[in-house]
Amino acid sequence: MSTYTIRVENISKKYNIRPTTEKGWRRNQRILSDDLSNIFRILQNQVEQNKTVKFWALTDVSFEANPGDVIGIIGRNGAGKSTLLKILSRVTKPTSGRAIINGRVGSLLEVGTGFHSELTGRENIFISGAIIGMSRDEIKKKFDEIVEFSGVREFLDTPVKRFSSGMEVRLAFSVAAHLEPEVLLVDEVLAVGDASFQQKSLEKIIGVSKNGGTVLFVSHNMTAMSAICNKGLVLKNGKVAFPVAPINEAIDYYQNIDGKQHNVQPLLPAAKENSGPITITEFTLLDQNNFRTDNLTNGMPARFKISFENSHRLPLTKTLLTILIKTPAGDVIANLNRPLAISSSNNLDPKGTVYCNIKKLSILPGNIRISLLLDYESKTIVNIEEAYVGEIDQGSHLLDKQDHFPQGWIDIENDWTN
Amino acid sequence: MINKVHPKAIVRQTIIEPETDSIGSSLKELWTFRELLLILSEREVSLRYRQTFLGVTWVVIQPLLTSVIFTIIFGKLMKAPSDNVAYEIFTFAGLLSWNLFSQSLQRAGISLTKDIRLITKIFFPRIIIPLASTLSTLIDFAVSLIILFILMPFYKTPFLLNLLIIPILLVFNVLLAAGVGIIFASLNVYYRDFTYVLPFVVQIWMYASPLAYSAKLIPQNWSWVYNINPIVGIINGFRWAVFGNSAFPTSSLIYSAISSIVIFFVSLVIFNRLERSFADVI
Repeated sequence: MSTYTIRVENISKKYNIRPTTEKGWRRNQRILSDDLSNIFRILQNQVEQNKTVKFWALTDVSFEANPGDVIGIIGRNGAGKSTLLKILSRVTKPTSGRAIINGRVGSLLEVGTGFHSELTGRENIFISGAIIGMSRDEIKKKFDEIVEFSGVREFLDTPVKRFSSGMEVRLAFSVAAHLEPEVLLVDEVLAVGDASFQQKSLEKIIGVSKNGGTVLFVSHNMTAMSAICNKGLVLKNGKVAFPVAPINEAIDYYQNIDGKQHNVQPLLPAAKENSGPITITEFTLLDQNNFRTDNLTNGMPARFKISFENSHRLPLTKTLLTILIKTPAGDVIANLNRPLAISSSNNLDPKGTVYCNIKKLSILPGNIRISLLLDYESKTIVNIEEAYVGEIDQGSHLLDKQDHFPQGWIDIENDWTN
Repeated sequence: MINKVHPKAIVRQTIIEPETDSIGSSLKELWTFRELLLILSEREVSLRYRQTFLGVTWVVIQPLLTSVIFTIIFGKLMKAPSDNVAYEIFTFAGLLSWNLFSQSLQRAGISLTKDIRLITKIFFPRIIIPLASTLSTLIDFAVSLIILFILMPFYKTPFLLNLLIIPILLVFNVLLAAGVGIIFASLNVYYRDFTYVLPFVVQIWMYASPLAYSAKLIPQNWSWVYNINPIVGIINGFRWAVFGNSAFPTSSLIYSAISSIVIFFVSLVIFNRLERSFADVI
């Protein structure tokens, strides 16, 4: 018998993206009138080719995973990590290539798929369990264990809509954690619950590999990656940039070779993580003179401009915009937030702009990432993991001090006396 | 995890390829997920009347109310013929079959686009989603059937042996409902226009079916056009089963049976073809 659990052979995936307006891009969505008018054009010999843009989310990806492997899939947004997991979990078909998986597959592309807010916790356990592939008997057998793990026993017969969002995801994750697959595909679901719950969840994931299973794990958090993965695979623009290797080598490659570029990500308003009722249309860094810049300087003022569209005219006072400044490993250094509207005067505006003004950027020079989150009624509706990837430059006040190589992240104002 | 992966357990092998799966293998997979089909139908039933004051009573009220409205408008005001049976029970017997069809069509038609995450975040045979909608309407059918049996003595309608044909009629009724529902559901993934078209389709279809009136109203030389509508034979079958006051609708019923089966299989083919890009398009 073959030894591998996952074998991916030259998998490629093509998406057709079509621009609908000059502002928005829509992935593969179709409108009947568009297609009908295309038929007319074809009839009139006015074929407008190339209206859709072909986009290769994955090209020629191959790798193999063996029993006991926990492989971290590393890469920027749009590198193809999620597409790879979607193909392996059979949500979508590859355009070419093939993959063979030996063993029962469990995929956690999202926590709580199939959860319904009107149903009780108990009902949701059964439905969600069945959807991810457990039999009714299996769920019955593990029911107590699941409830215990989640810690929401008192609320089992309460509709999930009365749960706090934390309780809901904890329950959802607990169901998923008891699937006991031989091949587990996990996409960034660890940011659930408090530290001790996250620890339990990690142990569950590692448990799969200890029993001779294989885990593919996608996360932006390099600290979590290096804690649980033994190997890593770096993807870049849909291609394998660094083949499966020990996790530290992969992270090293990603952070030092792949990550050493200034990179302001273009924000496509309809990118998949930004297609809710409120969308972020612009995120720009401004300098003191309000000119667009790509640089952030330690010890200097900084200004972020964030524009949004609120096509459904939702009350903006119920939103919370969060700017997370992170280390390249994904640990949060600073968290700046406020609602998109503070007063009722601009509460229902269809679009608008807010500025975040930082008097003094007290972060030491080094690579950082900025993520944008937008919550509406405590649910995250926009999550742009890499709104900015770049460096904080050395500010003059540090140069003056002749400080050769500052360590750490925070720049605390200080002076020394005798 | 504490549980051991059994060393002797049969290793399930999944091969992922660009090609569309064959209908045979899709059906085989549907069979392995049959429990999920039941669980999702249950979910739909238990969700339907959550946070309503009358709760499950709605299952009883809905068909009764429709039949009362029909009776007042078509029976009393327009004096539509009802084959010499009390109009109330005449239309109720027809609605039995029609409600199963129309409710299933309306629910299944929008089922795939209702919870997009079920398509984009997890894999299982997606045909389960519209099928679960269709199955969930069987509860309403069962309740309506019981109401009919309760009403029959009041309208001096004897229980005939003809009633035994109902399970067979039900099979074709479900196949037709599921088939049309699956077709609409899969088209709706590509073009949301069908969400808005669907209510009109149901409405037109209803007037083209012998619900408020008897199929005998249709002139003999036009009846072949009328009978193209595959639900006609099934409704006629239900009326024959309950009242037995006319000849067995042999030809229209055979036609309905065949077209139900054909439509169901066509819907499977269409679904199988379109399913591969659901997650990309939806």
